[in-house]
Amino acid sequence: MGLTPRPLCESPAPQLHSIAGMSTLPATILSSWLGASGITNVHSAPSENKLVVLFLRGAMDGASLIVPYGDDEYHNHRRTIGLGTPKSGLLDLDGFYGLHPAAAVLKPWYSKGKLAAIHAIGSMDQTRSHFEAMATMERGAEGQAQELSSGWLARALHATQPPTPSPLRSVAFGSLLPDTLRGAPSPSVIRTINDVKLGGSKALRRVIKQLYEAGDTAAHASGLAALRVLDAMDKINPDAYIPAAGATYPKSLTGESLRQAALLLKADVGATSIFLDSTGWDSHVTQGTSSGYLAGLFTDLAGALDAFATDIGPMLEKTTIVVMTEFGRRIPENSALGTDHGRAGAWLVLGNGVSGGKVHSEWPGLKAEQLDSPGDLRVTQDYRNVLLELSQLVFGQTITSAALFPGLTYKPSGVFQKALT
Amino acid sequence: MLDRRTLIVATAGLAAGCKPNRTSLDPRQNYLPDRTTKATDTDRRRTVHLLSRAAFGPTPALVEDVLSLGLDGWIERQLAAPNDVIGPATYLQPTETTGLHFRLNSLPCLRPGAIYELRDVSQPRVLSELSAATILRSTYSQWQLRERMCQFWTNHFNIYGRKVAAARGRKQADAELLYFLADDQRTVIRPHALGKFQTLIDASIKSPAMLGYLDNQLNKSGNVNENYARELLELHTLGVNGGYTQADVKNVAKVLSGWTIEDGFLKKVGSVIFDKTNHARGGKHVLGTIINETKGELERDKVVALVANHPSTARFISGKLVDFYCGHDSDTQTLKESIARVFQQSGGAMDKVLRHILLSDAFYASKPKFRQPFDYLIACLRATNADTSGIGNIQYQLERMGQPLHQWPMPDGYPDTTTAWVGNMIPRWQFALDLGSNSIQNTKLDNNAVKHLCRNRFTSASDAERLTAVLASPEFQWA
Repeated sequence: MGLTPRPLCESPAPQLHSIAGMSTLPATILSSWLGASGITNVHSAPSENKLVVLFLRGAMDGASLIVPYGDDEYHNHRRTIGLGTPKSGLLDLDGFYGLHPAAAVLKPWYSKGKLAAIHAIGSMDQTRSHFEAMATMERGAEGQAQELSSGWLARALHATQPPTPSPLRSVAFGSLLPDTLRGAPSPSVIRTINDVKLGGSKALRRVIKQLYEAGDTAAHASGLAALRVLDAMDKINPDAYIPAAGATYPKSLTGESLRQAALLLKADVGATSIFLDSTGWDSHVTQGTSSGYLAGLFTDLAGALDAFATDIGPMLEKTTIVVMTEFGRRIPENSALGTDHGRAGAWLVLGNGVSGGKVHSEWPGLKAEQLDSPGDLRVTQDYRNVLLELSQLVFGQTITSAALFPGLTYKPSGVFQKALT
Repeated sequence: MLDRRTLIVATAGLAAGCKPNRTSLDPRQNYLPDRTTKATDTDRRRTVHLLSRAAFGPTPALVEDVLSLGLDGWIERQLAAPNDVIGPATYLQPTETTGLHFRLNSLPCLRPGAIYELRDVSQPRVLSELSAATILRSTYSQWQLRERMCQFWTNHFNIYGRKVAAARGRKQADAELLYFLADDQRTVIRPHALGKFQTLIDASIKSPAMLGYLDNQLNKSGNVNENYARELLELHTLGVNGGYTQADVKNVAKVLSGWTIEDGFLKKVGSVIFDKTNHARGGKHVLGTIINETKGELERDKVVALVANHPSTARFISGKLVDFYCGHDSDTQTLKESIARVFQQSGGAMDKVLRHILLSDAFYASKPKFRQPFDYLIACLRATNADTSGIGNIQYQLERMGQPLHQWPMPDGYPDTTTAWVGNMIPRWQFALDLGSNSIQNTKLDNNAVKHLCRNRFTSASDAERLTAVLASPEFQWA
């Protein structure tokens, strides 16, 4: 897999349309609706819980983010790329696990009880293929439920769909619908909020609407949803957005995506779940230690999460963020001073309902006989337990284990303050 | 200008009437050209179907060509496309029209041997010229089926152009994969697009771009790096359900250990070379066979032959090809099985495989396939007979629609399903508006083509908005 995250915004700005008889949305209309920031109509206390899912594509090395320094074997397996102990700069979390120093800005959220880590989490499926693992995890298609075609979040959204949902109820940042949302009711795929606009006259939009009302293919349905999104987005001016409380987002894809996620949530246009991708985690080669390749990614990830939590401020009481990845990486380092595909990994949860200030884990150990052949951390936490509890926390208890994850024998994870199941 | 005979005639037109037919199950029928030759409706439907899938969209002139040649006649001619031979002579491609020839010649980064000089050229420029070449060939080449297969294989052997080649030392710290992509296209994908699968795999495994992308230059005995080995089995040949094990992955990685990119990366062509000191010695069990050569560099060829001829590979590649041409939404199980047999019996000969797919009843019965952004963009350019350089804003349009070329980070390539792409309509409409209003830099419409395409439709709107509505319509999103 590609190692380098895709640089953001290298393309020229979108062209302005200055064709006779057509115009982009007039600035006067925008400002009269919105005021300068574009989001003056924020409700102080949005009633609905919000969910943000950040998927780290390529298998994040959990043993480098949440380091099991208290396990002596760790230091034997990672002689070159190990991160040492709190004495050598690791940020101690509980006397056994330490946080990678590049993620230091997350430590205060952990100490305040807002942030928790989950370790040795993963799928029961043995695959070490990124694509198969992602497809399995995003659908929750384990064991006998392998034929599931919809995404887990899609099922949660379906089960709790209100009678007149916002066209932006479920948003995915990116260019493609992630499998997590496959089958969701009208998910919106947005590369950047700036793209969610259409020039041309009102007459043109009316013609497009007529065309898309006159049929029932997937394109027709998607087109009608897109028209509703355009109407909703007319209320937002992303260029005028200033994050609250001095929050500064990293200039990266993750930083920009979370900045736009905060903007959407605060604009109160009905966004309930927001899905984001982060790429570049497939560190087969020279992944570095307290500095280097992975450290750069951790700085970016932690900086973006810190800025997001700061920016949304009081809304964090209603918002839960989960940071997930398809599997962890092999415990012994490889010849290129990187790590190959493994099994269990580490996740983060932040915000509403999180039993924070803890690393939730039943540590399987790193001795040869404790590892999954050929050297991988054993899975002791089925990720579905966590996603089920998360879905119930955000969307309510109407979501059953059987509906969300058929075949799951649910076991409470303890990751959230009260298990609702 | 381009070959006027092929392209000047206004392209696929709309049937009369403003309202789309509510009951129409096959929206492409709205785009059938005028009747100018004697042909049955079935012939016309099949022709448009073939040209929507095996070409990058019909044009009226091309429809007439196919009607006179017959479906099989056109397919045979396309399968006999001249090869893109490796070497300087190919740069001037006499088999292409003057218009395409002229445009490709204005892209100096693509010259064979240009890699010597690319160190002084910015990476965005290299990427831009590479993408332009693909846009131009797909839009204007008369060898449309070959270009379709280049699209298929480029995606199958996806290489992320922006991945920084892992530095082995300071000398290579600035070596970027992007500079090797042009060479990968010229020596791996294009010459073998219609050839034998094993030859293609053999070329790919010797491509510095692929080796660098999947980290094999750092795969050394001791703790081997599995990245290339895994994707070779999972994505390039057997498929994820192809029956290999984690031990097979490890052992293929051992076979490939020691293969690296020669020092001087940019000074020469950056060939792939074998460094025996980093090769894992001893016997390796791969897919039930023991591979153990005294000369370690011979082991790679054994693995290539093993995976290229494995029955799982025949099934996997055949299935993917059938999905590419027929879409995922139709029942093609029987076709896939018979194509897998053709693949296996012919040693993966693409001409035989394609002939069988494109002449099968299941192909013509397959449901409309949702156009990926690239296919949509090219179909729009062809339908409007647009004159484009392939450079500039037209590439930004692709990025906004979600499919910038050579920039899918993961080795599985862009997905080919309706669900993956259908949720992102707004950038398509904006593209239709930009193209319709002639506001895309270096890309100009042919007014005659536009008039033909928009005749009898949306008569009350401005010309630009009429064209926008046609291209933005739900019907135009399907092939």
